[in-house]
Amino acid sequence: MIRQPEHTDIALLDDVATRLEKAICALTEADIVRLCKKARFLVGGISDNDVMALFNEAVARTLERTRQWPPNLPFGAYIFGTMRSIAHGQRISAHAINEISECDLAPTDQEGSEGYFASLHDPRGTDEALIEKAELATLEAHLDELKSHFAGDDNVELVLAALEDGTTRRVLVEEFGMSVTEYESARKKLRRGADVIFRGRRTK
Amino acid sequence: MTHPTSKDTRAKVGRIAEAFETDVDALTDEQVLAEAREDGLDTAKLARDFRSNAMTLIAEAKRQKLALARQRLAESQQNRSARSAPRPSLEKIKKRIQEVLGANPGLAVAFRDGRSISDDDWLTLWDDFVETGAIKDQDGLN
Repeated sequence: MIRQPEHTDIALLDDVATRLEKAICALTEADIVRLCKKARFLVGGISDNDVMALFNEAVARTLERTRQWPPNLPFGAYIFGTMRSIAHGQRISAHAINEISECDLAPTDQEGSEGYFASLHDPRGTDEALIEKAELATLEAHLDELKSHFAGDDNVELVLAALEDGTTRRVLVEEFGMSVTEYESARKKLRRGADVIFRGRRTK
Repeated sequence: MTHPTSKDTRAKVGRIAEAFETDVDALTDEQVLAEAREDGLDTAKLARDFRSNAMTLIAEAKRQKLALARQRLAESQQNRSARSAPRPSLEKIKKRIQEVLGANPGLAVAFRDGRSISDDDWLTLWDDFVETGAIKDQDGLN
């Protein structure tokens, strides 16, 4: 059910619906698969059905005009940006709905209790700080899973560490002695691994 | 390279996701489909489901749009009949309109000979005058 704002201008809705209809009809099989592959990484792993739900939510919000599709922006770029934004919002609200208690968020070794208690005195307020903390914990878990999947594969571990830090391929080639082929191969292996690891997962 | 801490987890995951997205964008359509099939995905069914779900949403929005237009039309007709409901008697209407026209010669320019217009014309003219404010709503009711 589309939520229809009372002030909706019928002509505008018609225009948006028609634009969406044309754009969706024009999506090829490859476009849709590509969208799924990219969206899978948005929240650290969601199934294709969840990607579809995210896509539908983005379409629904465009129809409601709570999201504006700029006239010159290609549909693929617009819809993916909207899905990314919705996924981020849903991830935060999912943590909020789960009513995370402070006890559930024990301090991690890396941070120590000082950082943990400091976060509770965050100027944004305890709730927001806890939500943020839970979200970070989830992301950390996904990252750990990816690392453990490739533990022992030196090239992939190196590429993963480089991507984390924003280290470029040139640095890996010049300073770590990797060949371009080794880099590209490790990066593809990492992405394909993430494809498999994250596929079918649902992030709360 | 530095050792990551949880403080920049979001940035790290963001950079990895961005790199993967760039790589996926760089693949040809054939490569995208080949990888998906390698993973055992029924790409044709996936595309069909995506399109049909989205088109259902759009059709639903259009249905709602039509219902909204109908509702607005009905409301507008209801308002119009509600406005014209408490009309005074035809005699009072004729008398009041003639008074208004007498007091405002400009309004009489397009007015035809009063004896030749029908009762329906008088009523329509009354409604129009009420709507434009030339006659107050309650004029002639008492």
